[in-house]
Amino acid sequence: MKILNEVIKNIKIIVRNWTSLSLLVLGPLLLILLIGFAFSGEELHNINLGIISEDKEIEHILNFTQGNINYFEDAESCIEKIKESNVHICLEFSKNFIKTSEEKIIPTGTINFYYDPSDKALANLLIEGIQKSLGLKAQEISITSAKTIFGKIQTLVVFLVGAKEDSENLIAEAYSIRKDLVERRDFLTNISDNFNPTYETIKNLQNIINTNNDFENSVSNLDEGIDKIDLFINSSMNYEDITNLTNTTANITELNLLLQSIKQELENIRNYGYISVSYINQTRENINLLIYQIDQIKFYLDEEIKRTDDNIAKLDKAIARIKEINSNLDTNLEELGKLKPELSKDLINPITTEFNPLLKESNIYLLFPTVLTTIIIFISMLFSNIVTLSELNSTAYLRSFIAPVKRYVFVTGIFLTNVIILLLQISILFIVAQLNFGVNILKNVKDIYFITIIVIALFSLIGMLIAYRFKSQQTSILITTFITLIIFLMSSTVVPVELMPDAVYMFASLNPYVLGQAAFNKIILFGSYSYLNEVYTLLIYLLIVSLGLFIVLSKERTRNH
Amino acid sequence: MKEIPILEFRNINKSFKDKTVLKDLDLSVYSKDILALAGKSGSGKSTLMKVMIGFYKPDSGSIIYKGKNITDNVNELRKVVGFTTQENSFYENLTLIENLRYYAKLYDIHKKDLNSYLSSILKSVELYNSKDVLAGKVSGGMKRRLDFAISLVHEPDILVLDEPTTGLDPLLVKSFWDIIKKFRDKGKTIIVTSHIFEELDENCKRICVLDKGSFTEVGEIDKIKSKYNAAKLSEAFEKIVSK
Repeated sequence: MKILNEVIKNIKIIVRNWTSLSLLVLGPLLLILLIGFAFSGEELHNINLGIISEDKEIEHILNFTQGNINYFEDAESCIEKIKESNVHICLEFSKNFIKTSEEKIIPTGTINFYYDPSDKALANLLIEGIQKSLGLKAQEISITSAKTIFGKIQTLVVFLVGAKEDSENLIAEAYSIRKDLVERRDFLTNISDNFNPTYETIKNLQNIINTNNDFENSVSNLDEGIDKIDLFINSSMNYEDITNLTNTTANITELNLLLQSIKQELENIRNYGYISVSYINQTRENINLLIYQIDQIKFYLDEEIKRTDDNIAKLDKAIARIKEINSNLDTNLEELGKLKPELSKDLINPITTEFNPLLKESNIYLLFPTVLTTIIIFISMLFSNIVTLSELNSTAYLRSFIAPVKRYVFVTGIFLTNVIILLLQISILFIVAQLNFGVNILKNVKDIYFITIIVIALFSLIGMLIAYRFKSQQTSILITTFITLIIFLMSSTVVPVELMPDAVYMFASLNPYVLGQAAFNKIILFGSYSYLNEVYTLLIYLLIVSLGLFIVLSKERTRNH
Repeated sequence: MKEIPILEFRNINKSFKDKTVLKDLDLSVYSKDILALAGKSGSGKSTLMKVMIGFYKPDSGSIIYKGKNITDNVNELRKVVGFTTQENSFYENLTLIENLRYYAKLYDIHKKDLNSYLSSILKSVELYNSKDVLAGKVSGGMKRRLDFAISLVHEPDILVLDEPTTGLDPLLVKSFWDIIKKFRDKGKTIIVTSHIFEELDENCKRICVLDKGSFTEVGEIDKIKSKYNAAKLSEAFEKIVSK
């Protein structure tokens, strides 16, 4: 009852103070609207980009639409402008960065970035944006080039397919030629086979003709015989004895006449013989000449058969080679056939990455848990500190203090007042977030309020503890602000806690602000109920701070008494 | 028959760190008395008053209320003592009646008709017509009376008034003292401090002069003035503290 009395009194006092009232209602409203408006931007703008290059074509590659482009002759003058805060980032392009080929712009070379690292968030956004733009451009160029190459390869493939068809035809033609050659060789072989016995016969005949001189010998013998006959005839006519010997002259004369006739006949034969020998010799020569020609024919025939065989063999070899080439060509054509222009992207970007953010909400939606926690810690700590200080430094405090009431009544009263007022403020924040920024508070309203109450309670108690410990308004508010700032800075809001040294990281990861933020993130963004670990830790903090407050109040009582 | 003190302080000592602020103080306060408490700055007057109202607990000594030792029961003392400060000890953003209601609940006053009771208090200090006005909006004299009224909420037997008329014009001073006397007449015991000795001389019966944490004089004002051969209390006070 007394606590309720205390709470009602405190709320009346706060509500009746116009400054407090405006801060109470308008403050959070203004805060969330301002933050909402400020964080609603998704794109960078009013950026002054410095370019160190003589080539104005770079503008087209960058496709920079977030602000103005300023050209500089050298890096130093651009860097100077960054120092003066007139330029946000400088890009130094290497010489001849832009090349033109087949009326196409091809950028190649290096780009040096100069930026102010103290403004890391902006620098990162700018670098990321420009790299993305340049990367896309480079990729676009590479893909176009690759497409051209692949197009040419495709043309080559088509040509090679045509050539392969030609070579297939060639093989067919070669086979046809080979067949002809084989037939021709067979024909020639057949001729040769048929010719050879005749040839042998002719050769034998030639041999016989050349070696058989019987006729010449016979003619010669005949000539000798005739001569002997002639000699005999002549001698018989001169030797009468011979006539006596024969006893008949008539007979001898008749014999002579006969002999003369024979002789004449023999001479005629001999003449004919000589003529025949002459003819024979002539014929022999002719036969020899003929055989020589036949030899030649045979030689050419054999040679032709051999050459045809050689040609067939060469043709077989050529066909085999062409076939081998065709086979290789098939394999290569198959591989080349796979290189299609549509594969250019895969070749340029062999690793395809896809980023899938779990949420695709607006900035303010995503930042709402952080904004909420930040507002709660700043408002809770400062508000509870100021409310407590106002009470402690109030002229009415002495009167309240000497009332026969236990201290916890006042402390609890102030604490509950703070929690109620802050819940009211945060509720306004929730309403605006729900209605204006589409943050679905209603979906998990109980859990959100549960976490909100714990966070508010914890930071209110910290603010109160500081107020009870340091009653001087100036000192107390300064200490509260300082501690709030430490808590705020030791979180991932400015720098990721994972970047901090291990010792600080330990502290930062146990930072109640970080825990509150994590709990709000889980429930507001993901609707996950795994926030209990954070809540348990926050409750432990709540217990510790309550204990601290109890100790401070006990010391104060000891001091007074 | 010897009068029994309503409140007694026996051998009271109070130190802060090494500095002794109150030293072996003995004081008896009688019913319906208006006791003036005087002393130079730094004499221990404020500390003594805070002991009287239960803000400080003495390091040693006893506090006796109506014959009962309540030294260790500071809440008992707080219930019987009302306190009016030299500053306005109330909430300016509450109305006059809300201030009274707040303190009434703080003191566990559960009257059937609390509003009537609180209204009667406001009427007694002539503030009833402004009961719904914010305390911060009323005049200086009304604020002093409101402060006085708040100290009456829990119906204390003893009222400790610290410089109650500071900053008031003479007419308001007189009016305020009239109210004090009215409550004295109703049976309240008043302990009052003031730098304006004329007021004390005119309105108080007894005075105790505190110097360096000890009483240098305690007694009826007239007797003390005679003792120091002074026409005015201020003269007597100067003589006492310059001893």
